Amino acid sequence: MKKLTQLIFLVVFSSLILSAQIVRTDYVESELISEVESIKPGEPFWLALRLKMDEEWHTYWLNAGDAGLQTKIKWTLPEGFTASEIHWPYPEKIYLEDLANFGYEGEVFLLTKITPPKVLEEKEIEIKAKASWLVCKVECLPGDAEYSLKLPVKDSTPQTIEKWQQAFSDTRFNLPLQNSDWKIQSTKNENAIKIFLIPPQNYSSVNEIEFFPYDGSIYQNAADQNFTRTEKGYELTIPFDDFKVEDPDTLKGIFVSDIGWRGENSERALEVIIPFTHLGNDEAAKSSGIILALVFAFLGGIILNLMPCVLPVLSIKIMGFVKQAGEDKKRILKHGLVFTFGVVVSFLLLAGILIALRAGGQELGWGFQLQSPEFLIILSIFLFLFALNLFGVFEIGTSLMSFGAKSSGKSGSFGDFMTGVTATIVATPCTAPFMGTALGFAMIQPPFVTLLIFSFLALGMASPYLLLSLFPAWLKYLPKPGKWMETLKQFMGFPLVATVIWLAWVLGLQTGSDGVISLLAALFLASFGVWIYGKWGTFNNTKPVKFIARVIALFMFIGGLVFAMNTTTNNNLPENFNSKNTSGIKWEKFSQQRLDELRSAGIPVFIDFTAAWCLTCQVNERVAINSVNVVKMIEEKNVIPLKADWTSRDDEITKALANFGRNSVPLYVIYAENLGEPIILPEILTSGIIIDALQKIN
Amino acid sequence: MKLLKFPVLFLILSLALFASEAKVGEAAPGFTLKDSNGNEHSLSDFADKYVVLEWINYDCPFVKKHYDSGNMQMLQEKYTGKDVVWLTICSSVPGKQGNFDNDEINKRSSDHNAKFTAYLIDDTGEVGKAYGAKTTPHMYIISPSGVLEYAGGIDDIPSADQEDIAKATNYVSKALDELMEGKEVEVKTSKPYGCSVKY
Repeated sequence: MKKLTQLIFLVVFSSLILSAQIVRTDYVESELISEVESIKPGEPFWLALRLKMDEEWHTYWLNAGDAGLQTKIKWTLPEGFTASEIHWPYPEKIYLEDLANFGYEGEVFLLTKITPPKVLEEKEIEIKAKASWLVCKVECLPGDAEYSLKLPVKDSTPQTIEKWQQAFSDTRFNLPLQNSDWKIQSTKNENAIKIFLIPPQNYSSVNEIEFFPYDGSIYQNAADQNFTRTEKGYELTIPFDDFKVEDPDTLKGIFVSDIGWRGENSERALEVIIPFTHLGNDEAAKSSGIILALVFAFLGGIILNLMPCVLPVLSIKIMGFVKQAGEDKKRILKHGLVFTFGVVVSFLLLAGILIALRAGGQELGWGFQLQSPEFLIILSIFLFLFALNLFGVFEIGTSLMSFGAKSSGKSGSFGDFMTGVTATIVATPCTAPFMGTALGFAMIQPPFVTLLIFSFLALGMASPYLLLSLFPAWLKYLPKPGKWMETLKQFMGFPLVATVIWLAWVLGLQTGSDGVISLLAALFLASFGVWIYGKWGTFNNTKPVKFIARVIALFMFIGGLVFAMNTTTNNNLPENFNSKNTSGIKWEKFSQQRLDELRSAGIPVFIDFTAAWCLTCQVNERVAINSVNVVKMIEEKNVIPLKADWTSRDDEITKALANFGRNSVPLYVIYAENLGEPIILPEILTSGIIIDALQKIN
Repeated sequence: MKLLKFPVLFLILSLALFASEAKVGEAAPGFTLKDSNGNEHSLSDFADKYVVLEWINYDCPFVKKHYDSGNMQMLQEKYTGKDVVWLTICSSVPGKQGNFDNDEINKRSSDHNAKFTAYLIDDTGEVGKAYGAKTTPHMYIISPSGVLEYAGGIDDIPSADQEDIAKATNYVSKALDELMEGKEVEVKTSKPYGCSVKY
């Protein structure tokens, strides 16, 4: 019974607070809306003045431009409450003949943050507001309206009102960012100012940037801002108004760009308050993005050789070199070139597939291969057989000799090529986390540039071998061939087996234990097959035995593969993953909605964009994020940890990553009210880095 | 962004850029206009006198603020009484708000009991553009030697609310008083506020 009364009360009550008091005045429909259903003492919340103008009519931004008047809100708040200034979404330029105004057509939400006191006795509070504006088409009319909003006070975390969620979220996205990675400088002379905007190295092309000054009477509001592209970035030239009210020493206003300030489709407005500088050595403008990206890709490629995924393959390649030491120089060079070619081709192929899939509208990022169970199975079987080969269970026929580098030096080009391909395929799980920013940059470039960057990555990876092939004399510094090579080769099988275990774990997270069992069965069949092949399928057996052994081996190999593929479905078990790694931190599952809720409630958030297949992520989680001090600090600061698990395809997370200009994991983000802009942590974490960042939260 | 959708419009507008000839501290651009009674007036007719230019559009809420409250008429009466020439100029082009025939102008002016020296008709917008007039009202003061001494808003509270007039600092009367006392004008420019001039 009690429940029923509660329910009735709730229905009546919520209909009361939700019933919008829409006020209709000349050419404007307006109302005061709340983002939350209830409020919690001490926790700030957001209200919005919704103005919906009739067609062709507009109201104004904080700077109305040449004419017009900014919209104003006068609050009547309960005791202890405070209201912020209006947070204005960026406006559009509205031309009236030779004049330009800054305002809004259609519908606009002007946000205000209300902070209630820490202690509240009342069960319900009432907020009153009086808004006044000027609405203009060509002619203008002042308008005003009064609103009242009642909100219940509860101790629970406020829930957002679904009806307005999108509007608040969209509006927030249109608020100017407080800072960015762009370098912006401005100089002035008697007649005009010149603004230099230099994007961060990894930035896609911008087609339009417009400046909206905070002061309406310094610059010519209707003037063409002369947006031009320069070698280093972009430039704007804005003439002063003939009657400028002051000679400014600071550039104040917002820039609006067509693609956004944190990568494509990010926030389009950026607030800038910078003093004018003197023309001359514009230090900021020295980089040329693409060339730098190419250099980093090359260096990254070299470092890739040291990654655990790549090391076994490459140590074998080195041994190949050692064996080749005595060979003819031309042959050695050819080996090196073909290997390099193999690496480049496979990198380009992977990049090409990715570009094509993305062009087809799929939300994919680098490392996407590892989101596919089928790919994981094939890669696992491949690596496992490779390990067995290293252990000496079987040898591969002459044509594939250098595969295992067992070659006497007379290996074919195909072998060199395949070693390159193998190295690349095996390297992919390591590239994704390691090259995060660079690959994110690469993916938002035109396809040609993307492919160029990947080529440099590939060249970097192949460069040590290419160098050795060019200067075979250096090989004499390597140890002489001998028995140790056989031992090393066998030993290198173990990292490969370990990699298989890791891949199986990733697969397990995607498909559950069924997938892992299927994979193990496939590995069993394949290893049985190659054992038969190694025992009876090689040339020292009679022809019929050889034939039968080979058929059986092939059958078992293919059978195992097909079996594993057919029994594996992507079950998507991220919860499983979440609970698995929670030794210290109580993760919540990431969703944009949850993030928006927490942010609007002013609760600090730590987001871990991760994936099971991302090695760096796993290492970071173990050594840094789950360290005792970090766990303690997160609890102390009341930070809500959100885990965005990208192990399997997830469009929402791909989009969230894109908001940070990223296309890959790991990415660590801290939001806190007092920080303004979110903090983005480096990709390689230590507990110290996280603690330093968390300490900035109030 | 609308701007991106209409690059052509943008281009045309930027070519027709606002380039006023008037500058504070320099000679005010000359003009000759007919008033609402058909008489011609030239700026040069008023050499040796202070001249106030007031841009007007009777239907603009900001103009109404200062006329319905009597604020504008009070200023006109006070300063024309001190031998200041007060020229009210309407740059609304035909077909746009504020463009009236002479009878209508004179009727409205007498209804408001306006005290300007003359109501000048600039229905090509030429004079308005020469002075860079953006809003109604937009105020200018020219010294007896023909130098532009002030350009900007009527006061420092941009609103359409009559109640704000008492609280505001009136830049026009302040500048005129300073000039007549032989002082330097303290605020030579301010942001004009109001409706856009209907060019």
